Amino acid sequence: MEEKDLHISQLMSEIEALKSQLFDANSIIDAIKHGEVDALVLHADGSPQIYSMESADYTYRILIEKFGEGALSIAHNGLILYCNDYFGKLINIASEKITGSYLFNYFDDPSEFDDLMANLSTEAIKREITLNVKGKKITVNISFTDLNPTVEAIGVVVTDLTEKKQNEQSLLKYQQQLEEKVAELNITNVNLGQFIHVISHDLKEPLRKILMYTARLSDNAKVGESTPVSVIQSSATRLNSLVDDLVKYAFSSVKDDASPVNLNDVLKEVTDDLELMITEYNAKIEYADLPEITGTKVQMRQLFSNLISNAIKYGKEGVDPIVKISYDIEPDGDNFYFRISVEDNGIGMDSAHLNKIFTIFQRLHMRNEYSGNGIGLAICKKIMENHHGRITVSSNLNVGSVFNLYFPINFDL
Amino acid sequence: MLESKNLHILIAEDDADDAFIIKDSFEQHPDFNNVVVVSNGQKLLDYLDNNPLPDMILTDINMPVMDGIEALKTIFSTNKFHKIPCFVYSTSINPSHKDECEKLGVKGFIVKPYSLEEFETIPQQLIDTMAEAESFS
Repeated sequence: MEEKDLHISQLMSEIEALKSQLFDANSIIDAIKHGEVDALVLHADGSPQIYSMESADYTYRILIEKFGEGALSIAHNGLILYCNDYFGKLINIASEKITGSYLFNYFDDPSEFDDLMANLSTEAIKREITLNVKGKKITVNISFTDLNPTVEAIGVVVTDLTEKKQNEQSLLKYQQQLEEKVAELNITNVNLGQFIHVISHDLKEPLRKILMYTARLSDNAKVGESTPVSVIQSSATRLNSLVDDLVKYAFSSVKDDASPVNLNDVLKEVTDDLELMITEYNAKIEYADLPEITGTKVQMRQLFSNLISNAIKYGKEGVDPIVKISYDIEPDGDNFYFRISVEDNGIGMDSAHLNKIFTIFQRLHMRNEYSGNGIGLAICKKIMENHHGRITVSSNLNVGSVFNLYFPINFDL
Repeated sequence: MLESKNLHILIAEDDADDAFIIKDSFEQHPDFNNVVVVSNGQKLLDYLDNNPLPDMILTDINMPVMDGIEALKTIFSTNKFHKIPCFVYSTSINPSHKDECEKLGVKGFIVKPYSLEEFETIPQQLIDTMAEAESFS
């Protein structure tokens, strides 16, 4: 009997618990129906947490208050119904004083307000405008969104562009400075071109005459070596060849329009030009089937003329110079190069000196021992750089040297 | 071979010393009997406009008023003149000058000599170049 009573009271309490759950559920449904509850979130332990309109509205309000941009709501006549702190700070007026004033009063050009209103839609429309608050102008991006039919108001978002404008202006300033520098550089280049021209002609003209007329003097006087006239003559000759090579060096940095250049044609012309020297030294120039590269023919002539005349000039005594020019294709990552080799059987160089030879005015030999002024290989290096390539050398003392020229094949530079 | 031995050459040279030497070189050569020297490119063109056409032209590049290259451009683009064989001689070793002259169509580019003897060989060089060109055509 007692057991039965216990059972009944247990059932009764369960019914009570269920009733209370039902009440909770019904009241939530009612609240949702009446719009009092915005959301219902079930926590991990199963107990529900209710977010009412009131609590959700508060969250949004704080969000807008602390928003990193100006946020306002206005009536259709421009009356400000609400504005957040940020906007107040932006125009330096307390936000409670802004509410109740008219938005267009803060516009530099109030007609822009009418324009925004005329284009009003439920999609945000944006304009870059200038605010003018007590004479202080602020460039902003402003966007209007018609909140109708939800609310009889317009949502306004104001983004401060002051910093962006400043950046733009300093960017413009830098660009202007850069353009000025480029213009200056161009002028310098033109001046340099004229300077080279003056040297290549005006400086050589009197030199040529000195040489011409001292030759006449020495003819008449029948003088030997180390006499005043012959010293003048050899000095003037050296000065003349120095001027020649300096001018060539200056020209080797000129970038002419690149076009296909057949190296066989170049070699033919160079060996014609060097005919006298080749005959004098009894030299052999061997080349066959060289490729076509993209470059400047004048500079290619200069390049091979320098390398071949060097190879002949620095020949071993008692051995006829042989210069072999050949090529292969050298891969370098995804790119390919023509490697043109100019090989000689000359005196060669000590490997310790190899890194110096492409530097202007570096000579490895006494002036009297071999002719040359240390500009030729510097010219070659510059020409190869102009052609987006490079020049390397390997050499064995008393065996000979190999100069390798690398020309890029068909890749974008 | 050029058949006429009584060649008429027009030379443009602004430097008085060189003008004297080059004129002398041509006058010494038996094939030339009319050697005219003017002092710049403009005078070269003026001469061509107002005189019987020469058999060949030799011009310096760097000259005041109008340089040799400007004058050559006009000569090669003028119907009346463009068949006259033109030669250039210059102190300039500017490789782009040489290139430009070759593109224009000059018959020869001579670097100004460093001795009087070499000056004397210029007339024969011109005649040989002309003869070579004749034998090819």
